[in-house]
Amino acid sequence: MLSRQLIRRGAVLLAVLVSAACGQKPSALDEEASGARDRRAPVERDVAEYDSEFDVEAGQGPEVLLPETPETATGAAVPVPAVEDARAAAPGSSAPLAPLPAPAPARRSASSPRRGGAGPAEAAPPAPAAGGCGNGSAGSEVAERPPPAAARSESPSSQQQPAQPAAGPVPEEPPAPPAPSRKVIEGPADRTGVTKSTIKIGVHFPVTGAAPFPQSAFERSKDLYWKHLADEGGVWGRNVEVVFRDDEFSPTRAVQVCREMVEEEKVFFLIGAAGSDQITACARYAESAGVPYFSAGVNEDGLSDLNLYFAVSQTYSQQSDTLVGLIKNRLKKQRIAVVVASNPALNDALRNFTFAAESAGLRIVRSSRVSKTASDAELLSEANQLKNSGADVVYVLMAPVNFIKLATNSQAQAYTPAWVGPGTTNGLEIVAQAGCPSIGTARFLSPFPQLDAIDDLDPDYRPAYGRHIGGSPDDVGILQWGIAKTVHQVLEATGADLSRQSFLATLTSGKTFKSNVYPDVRYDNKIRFGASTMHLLEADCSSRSWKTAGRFVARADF
Amino acid sequence: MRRGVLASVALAVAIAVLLIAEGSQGRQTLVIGVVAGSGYGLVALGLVLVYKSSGVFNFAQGEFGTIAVFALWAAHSAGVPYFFAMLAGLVAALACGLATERFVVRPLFHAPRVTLLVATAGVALLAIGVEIWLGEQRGRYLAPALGRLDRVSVFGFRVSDQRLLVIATLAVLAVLIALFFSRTNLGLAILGLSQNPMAAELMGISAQRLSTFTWAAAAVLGGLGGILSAPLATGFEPGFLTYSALIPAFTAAVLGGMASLPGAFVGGVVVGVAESAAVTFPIFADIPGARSVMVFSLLVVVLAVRPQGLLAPRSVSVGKAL
Repeated sequence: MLSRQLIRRGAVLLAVLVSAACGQKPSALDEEASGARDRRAPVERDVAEYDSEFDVEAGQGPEVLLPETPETATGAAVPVPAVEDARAAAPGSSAPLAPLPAPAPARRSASSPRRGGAGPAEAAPPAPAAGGCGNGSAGSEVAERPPPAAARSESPSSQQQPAQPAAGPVPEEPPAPPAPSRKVIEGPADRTGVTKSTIKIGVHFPVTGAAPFPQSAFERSKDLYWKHLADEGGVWGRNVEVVFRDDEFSPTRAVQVCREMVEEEKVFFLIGAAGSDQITACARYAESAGVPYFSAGVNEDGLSDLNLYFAVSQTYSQQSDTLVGLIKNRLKKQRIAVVVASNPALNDALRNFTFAAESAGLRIVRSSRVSKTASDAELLSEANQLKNSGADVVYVLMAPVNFIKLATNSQAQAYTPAWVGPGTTNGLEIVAQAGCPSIGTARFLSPFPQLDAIDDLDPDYRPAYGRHIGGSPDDVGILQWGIAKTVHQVLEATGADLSRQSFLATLTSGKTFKSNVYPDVRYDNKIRFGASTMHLLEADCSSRSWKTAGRFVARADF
Repeated sequence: MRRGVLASVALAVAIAVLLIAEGSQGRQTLVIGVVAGSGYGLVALGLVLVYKSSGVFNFAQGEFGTIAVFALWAAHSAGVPYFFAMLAGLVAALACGLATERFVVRPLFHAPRVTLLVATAGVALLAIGVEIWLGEQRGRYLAPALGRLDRVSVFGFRVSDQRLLVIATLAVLAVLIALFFSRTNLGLAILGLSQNPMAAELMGISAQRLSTFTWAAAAVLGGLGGILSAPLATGFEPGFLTYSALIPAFTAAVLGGMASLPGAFVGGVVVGVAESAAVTFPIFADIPGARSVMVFSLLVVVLAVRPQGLLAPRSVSVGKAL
């Protein structure tokens, strides 16, 4: 009796120990911070992991690829109106676009061939960094960064290795969509969602779940820009009809709603407004379905190998150098703590910010990952650890609700560092309203300007809001207005003969598309992360709002 | 039972001494654990109350709290002073508890306990749906009842007045309810009904009346948990207490012993300390989701070694509910 009991208890303890021992390393950062890690390994592991998870086929190089669809029409070549010089500098920015990275023979890459400009994670060949996004990528820095895709593709055996654990915890993996089946652009024209008078598009956003944004604000302004455009006569005589879905802050749900919008609603393209995991999951589904997908820049892991994904602002990794410049030259701080949500998709942002900070001589005194659904105890402890670390600046990349809790708990401990981070949603007005005074003078990069600057940048926004929605305009409207306006530039440039083929041909033609709300973007057959600037927002707790402290800024502006 | 309780207390004291001896980090971990765990304990208290009286895991306990928070927020937003708005919240929770008892629990009074368990889960989901329907799915922000942050500092960790209020409320309620069940006729009647309903009814105890009382009390406890912990969470949204506190509270209740009210307090603190340690100590840095691993490892060990929980008599086990 006694021995059976002992065996039973021993088995339970053994199971507990095994489950603990089998855990994956939550972050590469601790080791990177001590300089003890080979920076190349995690990128290759991540690529292998994603390739394995999503079973993405190796592509054929620089062609624009599309699936073969049964809906056929004449695939006539589409004249593409000239829009802007591809190398035009962003408005307000002193940093011109970087030289393009060299062509890569394979598409199975984590970053470089898809990158726009020269972001901090640039796995590009050691090209001169002159002015490239102002990121100051010196040759010696490039040498230490993840190898270019071209180099990786030279050893296919390494790509064939089984997926290894990612350098971070895996709370909720995006579900694996079916393997994509692609044909080159010369196929028959695909006009799904397009009629003589309308273009139907799909938008998803985490209204519910861990990102508590006001549902009504998003629903109100989901098609504001398109209504305004209809007043102006539409785009080549067509009006845009928006289908909106809540992805519930869940990658699984995101794929479901995107599938619904693609297969039932027959949308022409998809837009993801926020939520890195959801955007990644949905973009990968869209790739498999042959549907173009747009979002503000988020992570690069999991997106860099997609043909049909286009970031309309800088990715988190691309923003690293600008943030480092801000910390070093404007805030004049040296001791940094880094707190990133444990989503595996954010590993690349973590790696690149760490690299950029250390390369600039800044000292990372603490780095940690917090759960996507962090508990009170976790955030209290994290705040206490940040205080004990003595960091002057805390780089945060997490959902707004957790950021606010962390800042509130830190303030309760009389710890008020400068909070900085890449954007999208932490720069929303609701964060300042709920987080002040705890967030102090937090500074976040953002793809869109705040209400104090929108009139200068786009005088149409406020009148359109008043005409179609009424009341006081909000920044959620600007977020959606900006993406829509950027995409409109592409539709406009495509012309009247709209198909997915002609649309993608225009999109990847190397032209620069200017919205003057979101950063200028430029894509070609390799670049999918096509922005080189961001807006800088600074919290103003006297009015519980964000001020636009810099418009279209880059590293060189600091 | 006494030997087990003494062993549990000795273990808790030993862990506390170890953490204090470890240095300032350990001491702060202990304080954070107690502070954060009190919130779990408050929700666990309501769970234990219902379980103790009816042998049911009440999945709707979190929603009693969320409804109270919504009512508090609505009343305060309408200009009602905070204290009276809190009362409005408690009244809303009470109404919800009474409605649950009348329309869900009472019709299923003689059904198997597992049926009632599923019914409470249904109540929780219904409540979340109604909250979304009436209040829109978005975050709202609630100011604390007590705003001062720096009155008390323990081992260098500042404990806000709101958190002190949670700890004090939890400690007082745990003792009062324990006394209620051991020293009052009503409490003993509820216990008797729980252990043998037929015998209790033959003794003249009204099962329905006691059921109403129990669910009303549990709803008020849930409401109290909600209105005290929502300001600490910075914001709330439909289902917030169910999503954020129900699982840790269940863990706390099981750790403490599902039939022990002081055990809910102890269990909450243990869960809080475990989470805090998992975040703080470098030894856990390489374990993804260390917080959850720590808490659930602890739960498995306690269930294997002492399935009745830390402070409950051996005759009561969680298996009774099913």
